[in-house]
Amino acid sequence: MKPIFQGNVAAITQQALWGRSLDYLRQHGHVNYTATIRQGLQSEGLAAFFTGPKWFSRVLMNAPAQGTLPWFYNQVLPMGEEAVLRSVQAIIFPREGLLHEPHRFRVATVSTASPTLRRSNSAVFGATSPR
Amino acid sequence: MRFVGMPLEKIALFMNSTQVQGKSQLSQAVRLTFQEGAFAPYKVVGPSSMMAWFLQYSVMGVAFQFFDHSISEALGVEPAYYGRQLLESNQGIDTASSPVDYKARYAMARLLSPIMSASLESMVSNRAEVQRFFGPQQFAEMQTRLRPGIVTRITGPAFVPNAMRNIIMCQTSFLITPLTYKLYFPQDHKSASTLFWYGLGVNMFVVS
Repeated sequence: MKPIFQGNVAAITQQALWGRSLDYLRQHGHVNYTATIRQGLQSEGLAAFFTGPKWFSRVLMNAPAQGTLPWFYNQVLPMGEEAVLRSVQAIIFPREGLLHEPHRFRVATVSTASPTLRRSNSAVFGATSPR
Repeated sequence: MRFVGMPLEKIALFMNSTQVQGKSQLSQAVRLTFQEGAFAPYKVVGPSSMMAWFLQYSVMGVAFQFFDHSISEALGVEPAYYGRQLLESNQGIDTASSPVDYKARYAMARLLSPIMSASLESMVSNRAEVQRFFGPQQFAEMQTRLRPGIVTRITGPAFVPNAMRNIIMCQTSFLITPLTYKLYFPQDHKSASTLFWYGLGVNMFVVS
Protein backbone atom coordinates (compact mmCIF):
# COMPACT_ATOMS: atom_id res chain seq x y z
CA MET A 1 0.00 0.00 0.00
CA LYS A 2 2.92 2.31 0.58
CA PRO A 3 3.59 3.00 -3.14
CA ILE A 4 -0.15 3.61 -3.65
CA PHE A 5 -0.26 6.09 -0.82
CA GLN A 6 2.84 7.82 -2.20
CA GLY A 7 1.03 8.10 -5.53
CA ASN A 8 -1.83 9.66 -3.67
CA VAL A 9 0.44 12.16 -1.98
CA ALA A 10 1.67 13.12 -5.44
CA ALA A 11 -1.93 13.74 -6.53
CA ILE A 12 -2.52 16.08 -3.58
CA THR A 13 0.67 17.99 -4.38
CA GLN A 14 -0.55 18.45 -7.95
CA GLN A 15 -3.89 19.74 -6.66
CA ALA A 16 -2.03 22.24 -4.48
CA LEU A 17 0.26 23.26 -7.34
CA TRP A 18 -2.80 23.81 -9.53
CA GLY A 19 -4.52 26.02 -6.94
CA ARG A 20 -1.37 27.99 -6.16
CA SER A 21 -0.64 28.45 -9.87
CA LEU A 22 -4.08 30.00 -10.31
CA ASP A 23 -3.45 32.35 -7.38
CA TYR A 24 -0.12 33.26 -9.03
CA LEU A 25 -1.99 33.89 -12.29
CA ARG A 26 -4.41 36.21 -10.50
CA GLN A 27 -1.53 38.21 -9.03
CA HIS A 28 0.94 38.26 -11.93
CA GLY A 29 -1.16 37.70 -15.04
CA HIS A 30 0.63 34.54 -16.11
CA VAL A 31 1.32 31.01 -14.85
CA ASN A 32 4.85 30.20 -13.67
CA TYR A 33 5.19 26.77 -12.05
CA THR A 34 8.80 27.26 -10.91
CA ALA A 35 8.04 30.55 -9.18
CA THR A 36 4.85 29.08 -7.68
CA ILE A 37 6.75 26.14 -6.18
CA ARG A 38 9.54 28.40 -4.90
CA GLN A 39 7.09 30.82 -3.27
CA GLY A 40 5.16 27.97 -1.66
CA LEU A 41 8.26 26.33 -0.24
CA GLN A 42 9.57 29.67 1.06
CA SER A 43 6.32 30.59 2.78
CA GLU A 44 5.16 27.25 4.21
CA GLY A 45 7.74 24.62 3.35
CA LEU A 46 6.44 21.24 2.23
CA ALA A 47 3.15 22.01 4.00
CA ALA A 48 2.34 24.29 1.07
CA PHE A 49 1.81 21.19 -1.04
CA PHE A 50 0.80 18.45 1.37
CA THR A 51 -0.74 18.33 4.82
CA GLY A 52 -3.20 16.00 6.51
CA PRO A 53 -6.06 18.54 6.28
CA LYS A 54 -5.34 19.10 2.57
CA TRP A 55 -5.60 15.35 2.03
CA PHE A 56 -8.73 15.14 4.18
CA SER A 57 -10.49 17.92 2.26
CA ARG A 58 -9.64 16.23 -1.01
CA VAL A 59 -11.03 12.90 0.28
CA LEU A 60 -14.24 14.61 1.39
CA MET A 61 -14.66 16.25 -1.98
CA ASN A 62 -13.66 13.44 -4.25
CA ALA A 63 -14.17 10.07 -2.61
CA PRO A 64 -17.91 9.54 -3.26
CA ALA A 65 -17.61 10.23 -6.98
CA GLN A 66 -14.14 8.77 -7.46
CA GLY A 67 -14.81 5.77 -5.23
CA THR A 68 -17.84 4.58 -7.16
CA LEU A 69 -16.16 5.03 -10.53
CA PRO A 70 -14.46 1.58 -10.63
CA TRP A 71 -17.80 -0.09 -9.93
CA PHE A 72 -19.55 2.07 -12.55
CA TYR A 73 -16.82 1.42 -15.10
CA ASN A 74 -16.69 -2.34 -14.63
CA GLN A 75 -20.30 -3.19 -13.83
CA VAL A 76 -22.59 -0.53 -15.31
CA LEU A 77 -20.74 0.60 -18.43
CA PRO A 78 -20.51 -2.94 -19.91
CA MET A 79 -24.31 -3.28 -19.78
CA GLY A 80 -24.91 -1.07 -22.79
CA GLU A 81 -21.59 -1.69 -24.46
CA GLU A 82 -22.62 -4.53 -26.73
CA ALA A 83 -25.64 -2.62 -28.05
CA VAL A 84 -23.59 0.51 -28.70
CA LEU A 85 -20.86 -1.42 -30.49
CA ARG A 86 -23.42 -3.27 -32.59
CA SER A 87 -24.92 0.08 -33.60
CA VAL A 88 -21.54 1.52 -34.47
CA GLN A 89 -20.66 -1.55 -36.48
CA ALA A 90 -24.00 -1.41 -38.26
CA ILE A 91 -23.31 2.19 -39.28
CA ILE A 92 -19.72 1.57 -40.36
CA PHE A 93 -20.28 -1.80 -42.05
CA PRO A 94 -24.00 -1.72 -42.98
CA ARG A 95 -23.77 -4.49 -45.59
CA GLU A 96 -21.85 -7.07 -43.69
CA GLY A 97 -24.69 -8.32 -41.55
CA LEU A 98 -22.64 -8.11 -38.42
CA LEU A 99 -25.62 -7.36 -36.25
CA HIS A 100 -26.50 -11.03 -36.36
CA GLU A 101 -22.99 -12.28 -35.81
CA PRO A 102 -21.50 -10.27 -32.99
CA HIS A 103 -18.66 -12.71 -32.50
CA ARG A 104 -17.24 -11.78 -35.89
CA PHE A 105 -16.45 -8.23 -34.93
CA ARG A 106 -14.95 -8.85 -31.59
CA VAL A 107 -11.39 -7.68 -31.45
CA ALA A 108 -8.93 -10.45 -31.89
CA THR A 109 -6.80 -10.86 -28.81
CA VAL A 110 -3.26 -10.15 -29.79
CA SER A 111 -1.55 -13.19 -31.17
CA THR A 112 1.82 -12.33 -29.67
CA ALA A 113 0.41 -12.14 -26.18
CA SER A 114 2.12 -14.24 -23.61
CA PRO A 115 0.10 -17.42 -23.00
CA THR A 116 0.46 -16.90 -19.29
CA LEU A 117 -1.46 -13.66 -19.48
CA ARG A 118 -4.15 -14.65 -21.94
CA ARG A 119 -7.68 -14.30 -20.75
CA SER A 120 -10.92 -16.03 -21.57
CA ASN A 121 -12.90 -13.24 -23.18
CA SER A 122 -11.61 -11.09 -25.98
CA ALA A 123 -11.81 -7.34 -26.00
CA VAL A 124 -14.69 -5.72 -27.78
CA PHE A 125 -13.40 -2.31 -28.73
CA GLY A 126 -12.11 -1.06 -32.05
CA ALA A 127 -12.79 -4.36 -33.72
CA THR A 128 -11.09 -5.12 -36.98
CA SER A 129 -9.92 -8.62 -37.59
CA PRO A 130 -12.01 -11.74 -37.09
CA ARG A 131 -10.33 -14.72 -35.54
CA MET B 1 -23.45 14.31 -7.11
CA ARG B 2 -20.74 16.81 -7.98
CA PHE B 3 -23.16 19.76 -7.82
CA VAL B 4 -24.49 18.72 -4.41
CA GLY B 5 -20.91 18.36 -3.22
CA MET B 6 -19.87 21.85 -4.33
CA PRO B 7 -19.27 23.12 -0.76
CA LEU B 8 -16.81 20.25 -0.26
CA GLU B 9 -15.13 21.05 -3.57
CA LYS B 10 -14.78 24.73 -2.67
CA ILE B 11 -13.30 23.80 0.71
CA ALA B 12 -10.77 21.56 -1.06
CA LEU B 13 -9.99 24.30 -3.60
CA PHE B 14 -9.33 26.84 -0.84
CA MET B 15 -7.32 24.31 1.13
CA ASN B 16 -5.04 23.82 -1.87
CA SER B 17 -4.52 27.50 -2.63
CA THR B 18 -2.52 30.34 -1.13
CA GLN B 19 -5.68 31.83 0.37
CA VAL B 20 -5.31 29.78 3.56
CA GLN B 21 -2.10 29.93 5.55
CA GLY B 22 -0.72 29.11 8.97
CA LYS B 23 -2.80 27.27 11.55
CA SER B 24 -6.42 26.08 11.32
CA GLN B 25 -6.41 26.04 7.55
CA LEU B 26 -9.50 23.84 7.36
CA SER B 27 -11.59 26.32 9.36
CA GLN B 28 -10.17 29.16 7.23
CA ALA B 29 -11.25 27.28 4.11
CA VAL B 30 -14.74 26.65 5.50
CA ARG B 31 -15.08 30.34 6.39
CA LEU B 32 -13.96 31.42 2.88
CA THR B 33 -16.35 28.93 1.29
CA PHE B 34 -19.40 30.37 3.04
CA GLN B 35 -18.32 34.00 3.52
CA GLU B 36 -20.76 35.17 0.83
CA GLY B 37 -23.66 33.07 2.02
CA ALA B 38 -24.73 29.47 2.47
CA PHE B 39 -25.35 29.02 -1.25
CA ALA B 40 -22.20 30.81 -2.43
CA PRO B 41 -20.43 27.53 -3.40
CA TYR B 42 -23.20 26.77 -5.88
CA LYS B 43 -22.98 30.18 -7.58
CA VAL B 44 -19.66 29.34 -9.24
CA VAL B 45 -21.22 26.49 -11.23
CA GLY B 46 -21.90 27.60 -14.79
CA PRO B 47 -23.08 25.77 -17.91
CA SER B 48 -19.50 24.83 -18.77
CA SER B 49 -19.21 22.94 -15.46
CA MET B 50 -22.43 21.04 -16.10
CA MET B 51 -21.21 20.09 -19.57
CA ALA B 52 -17.74 19.15 -18.28
CA TRP B 53 -19.20 16.94 -15.52
CA PHE B 54 -21.47 15.22 -18.01
CA LEU B 55 -18.60 14.56 -20.40
CA GLN B 56 -16.22 13.50 -17.62
CA TYR B 57 -18.50 10.82 -16.24
CA SER B 58 -20.09 9.65 -19.47
CA VAL B 59 -17.03 9.62 -21.68
CA MET B 60 -14.07 8.89 -19.41
CA GLY B 61 -14.64 5.14 -19.20
CA VAL B 62 -15.08 4.86 -22.94
CA ALA B 63 -12.05 7.07 -23.55
CA PHE B 64 -9.91 4.90 -21.28
CA GLN B 65 -11.12 1.79 -23.08
CA PHE B 66 -10.37 3.31 -26.46
CA PHE B 67 -6.82 4.29 -25.52
CA ASP B 68 -6.13 1.13 -23.52
CA HIS B 69 -7.23 -1.18 -26.33
CA SER B 70 -5.57 0.87 -29.07
CA ILE B 71 -2.26 1.09 -27.24
CA SER B 72 -2.39 -2.55 -26.13
CA GLU B 73 -3.04 -3.70 -29.67
CA ALA B 74 -0.24 -1.51 -31.03
CA LEU B 75 2.20 -2.93 -28.45
CA GLY B 76 0.96 -6.51 -28.81
CA VAL B 77 -0.24 -7.05 -25.25
CA GLU B 78 -3.50 -7.80 -23.48
CA PRO B 79 -5.64 -4.82 -22.42
CA ALA B 80 -6.32 -4.05 -18.75
CA TYR B 81 -8.77 -6.24 -16.85
CA TYR B 82 -12.29 -5.02 -17.37
CA GLY B 83 -15.94 -5.84 -16.66
CA ARG B 84 -16.77 -9.45 -15.93
CA GLN B 85 -13.10 -10.43 -16.04
CA LEU B 86 -12.78 -8.92 -12.57
CA LEU B 87 -15.20 -11.46 -11.16
CA GLU B 88 -13.48 -14.41 -12.80
CA SER B 89 -10.91 -16.49 -10.97
CA ASN B 90 -7.29 -15.42 -11.09
CA GLN B 91 -6.20 -19.06 -11.21
CA GLY B 92 -3.79 -19.72 -14.06
CA ILE B 93 -2.53 -16.15 -14.27
CA ASP B 94 1.21 -16.35 -13.93
CA THR B 95 2.72 -12.99 -14.68
CA ALA B 96 6.10 -13.97 -13.28
CA SER B 97 6.91 -16.33 -16.12
CA SER B 98 6.10 -13.88 -18.93
CA PRO B 99 9.00 -12.86 -21.19
CA VAL B 100 10.77 -9.69 -20.13
CA ASP B 101 9.99 -7.87 -23.36
CA TYR B 102 6.30 -8.69 -22.95
CA LYS B 103 6.36 -7.36 -19.38
CA ALA B 104 8.01 -4.15 -20.62
CA ARG B 105 5.41 -3.66 -23.36
CA TYR B 106 2.60 -4.49 -20.92
CA ALA B 107 3.93 -1.93 -18.43
CA MET B 108 4.28 0.66 -21.21
CA ALA B 109 0.65 0.12 -22.24
CA ARG B 110 -0.53 0.52 -18.63
CA LEU B 111 1.56 3.67 -18.35
CA LEU B 112 0.41 5.32 -21.57
CA SER B 113 -3.33 4.68 -21.47
CA PRO B 114 -3.95 6.70 -18.25
CA ILE B 115 -1.77 9.50 -19.61
CA MET B 116 -3.77 9.72 -22.82
CA SER B 117 -7.23 9.41 -21.26
CA ALA B 118 -6.47 11.72 -18.31
CA SER B 119 -5.05 14.36 -20.64
CA LEU B 120 -8.27 14.17 -22.60
CA GLU B 121 -10.24 14.47 -19.37
CA SER B 122 -8.28 17.57 -18.38
CA MET B 123 -8.91 19.13 -21.78
CA VAL B 124 -12.61 18.69 -21.06
CA SER B 125 -12.63 19.64 -17.39
CA ASN B 126 -9.76 22.00 -16.53
CA ARG B 127 -11.31 25.16 -17.93
CA ALA B 128 -14.54 24.51 -16.00
CA GLU B 129 -12.56 23.76 -12.82
CA VAL B 130 -10.70 27.05 -13.17
CA GLN B 131 -14.02 28.82 -13.62
CA ARG B 132 -15.27 27.27 -10.38
CA PHE B 133 -12.03 28.27 -8.65
CA PHE B 134 -12.36 31.96 -9.56
CA GLY B 135 -16.13 32.18 -10.06
CA PRO B 136 -17.70 32.93 -13.45
CA GLN B 137 -17.47 36.73 -13.22
CA GLN B 138 -13.85 36.94 -12.12
CA PHE B 139 -12.83 34.28 -14.62
CA ALA B 140 -14.54 36.14 -17.48
CA GLU B 141 -12.89 39.39 -16.38
CA MET B 142 -9.46 37.70 -16.29
CA GLN B 143 -9.98 36.17 -19.72
CA THR B 144 -10.74 39.63 -21.10
CA ARG B 145 -7.85 41.30 -19.30
CA LEU B 146 -5.12 38.70 -19.86
CA ARG B 147 -6.04 37.69 -23.43
CA PRO B 148 -4.64 34.13 -23.24
CA GLY B 149 -3.46 32.28 -26.33
CA ILE B 150 -5.72 29.92 -28.21
CA VAL B 151 -4.36 26.80 -26.47
CA THR B 152 -4.78 28.25 -22.97
CA ARG B 153 -8.19 29.58 -23.93
CA ILE B 154 -9.30 26.04 -24.85
CA THR B 155 -7.60 24.03 -22.09
CA GLY B 156 -7.67 26.61 -19.31
CA PRO B 157 -4.65 27.85 -17.30
CA ALA B 158 -2.53 25.55 -15.10
CA PHE B 159 -3.33 22.60 -17.31
CA VAL B 160 -0.22 20.55 -16.44
CA PRO B 161 -0.83 19.95 -12.69
CA ASN B 162 -4.50 19.31 -13.43
CA ALA B 163 -3.55 16.64 -15.96
CA MET B 164 -0.93 15.16 -13.60
CA ARG B 165 -3.54 14.82 -10.86
CA ASN B 166 -6.00 13.21 -13.26
CA ILE B 167 -3.40 10.73 -14.48
CA ILE B 168 -2.92 9.52 -10.91
CA MET B 169 -6.66 9.35 -10.30
CA CYS B 170 -7.15 7.55 -13.61
CA GLN B 171 -4.53 4.97 -12.64
CA THR B 172 -6.37 4.47 -9.37
CA SER B 173 -9.86 4.06 -10.81
CA PHE B 174 -9.16 2.13 -13.97
CA LEU B 175 -6.01 0.17 -13.15
CA ILE B 176 -5.09 -0.20 -9.47
CA THR B 177 -8.58 -0.84 -8.10
CA PRO B 178 -9.62 -3.38 -10.78
CA LEU B 179 -6.20 -5.06 -10.84
CA THR B 180 -5.96 -5.55 -7.08
CA TYR B 181 -9.58 -6.69 -6.91
CA LYS B 182 -9.03 -9.18 -9.71
CA LEU B 183 -5.78 -10.62 -8.37
CA TYR B 184 -6.07 -10.37 -4.59
CA PHE B 185 -9.74 -10.23 -3.57
CA PRO B 186 -11.02 -13.58 -2.21
CA GLN B 187 -12.72 -15.38 -5.09
CA ASP B 188 -15.60 -16.63 -2.92
CA HIS B 189 -16.60 -13.07 -2.08
CA LYS B 190 -16.34 -11.52 -5.53
CA SER B 191 -19.56 -9.82 -6.69
CA ALA B 192 -20.82 -6.51 -8.07
CA SER B 193 -21.63 -5.47 -4.50
CA THR B 194 -18.17 -6.20 -3.08
CA LEU B 195 -16.57 -4.48 -6.08
CA PHE B 196 -18.62 -1.38 -5.29
CA TRP B 197 -17.57 -1.30 -1.64
CA TYR B 198 -13.99 -2.29 -2.41
CA GLY B 199 -13.65 0.58 -4.90
CA LEU B 200 -15.22 3.03 -2.49
CA GLY B 201 -13.06 1.85 0.41
CA VAL B 202 -9.82 1.88 -1.55
CA ASN B 203 -10.50 5.36 -2.92
CA MET B 204 -11.69 6.84 0.37
CA PHE B 205 -9.21 5.42 2.80
CA VAL B 206 -6.19 4.40 0.78
CA VAL B 207 -5.83 6.22 -2.50
CA SER B 208 -8.03 9.31 -2.76
